[in-house]
Amino acid sequence: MKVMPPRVRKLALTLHVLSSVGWCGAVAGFLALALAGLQGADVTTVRSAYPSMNLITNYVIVPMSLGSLLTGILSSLGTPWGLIRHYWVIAKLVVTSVSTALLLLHTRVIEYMAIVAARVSVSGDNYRSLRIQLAADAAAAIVALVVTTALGIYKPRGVTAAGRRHVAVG
Amino acid sequence: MSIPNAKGLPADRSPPTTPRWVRVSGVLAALLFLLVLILHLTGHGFGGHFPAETGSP
Repeated sequence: MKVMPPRVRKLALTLHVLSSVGWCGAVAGFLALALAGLQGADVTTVRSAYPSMNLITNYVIVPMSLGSLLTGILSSLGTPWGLIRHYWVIAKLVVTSVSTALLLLHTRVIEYMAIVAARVSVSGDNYRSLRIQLAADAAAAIVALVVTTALGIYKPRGVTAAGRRHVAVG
Repeated sequence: MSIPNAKGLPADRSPPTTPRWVRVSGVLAALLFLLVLILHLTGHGFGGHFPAETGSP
């Protein structure tokens, strides 16, 4: 892919940062709701927490994660950094791809808990393992997003064989 | 501050070997994957996705 003109590159980078920051913020909100649901102190809070988590997932987290992945790939392909020339870009791609795949797999669990919470009382030990799983998923997602953010900012050294070939040819 | 090369990238003075941070991260990721796999296989995970715990939705 040809290197993008500066204006297009900046637009792609802006969209990438926006979607990544939006993803992280939405997951933080999801974690707060998941912890409230896990604590189960107030029936009304728990009953509204899981449907809210389902809405946040479907309308914010999933679109933002896909947007972050796509704009990240576009930004790397359209700049001299490339997609497979630097280890930090590959690491960021792997962490983002795995996080997005796990998120898409777990949307069914969130939807299930939203239906459960609307119909039966979710407190004490009821559905405790699923409630713990949702809170743990959100915490793990935040760790993954902190790692990808740090990789993007620090850009640790290391050029792959493809990167060395590109420098030698170019 | 590193000096950008002709392609606008920071000059990379690292030797043509896999950097240590990549090797360490790879080992940690493999260990984490193994741990999750073992927990799932032994049934000590977070209880699977849709257990019939209490009542039905």
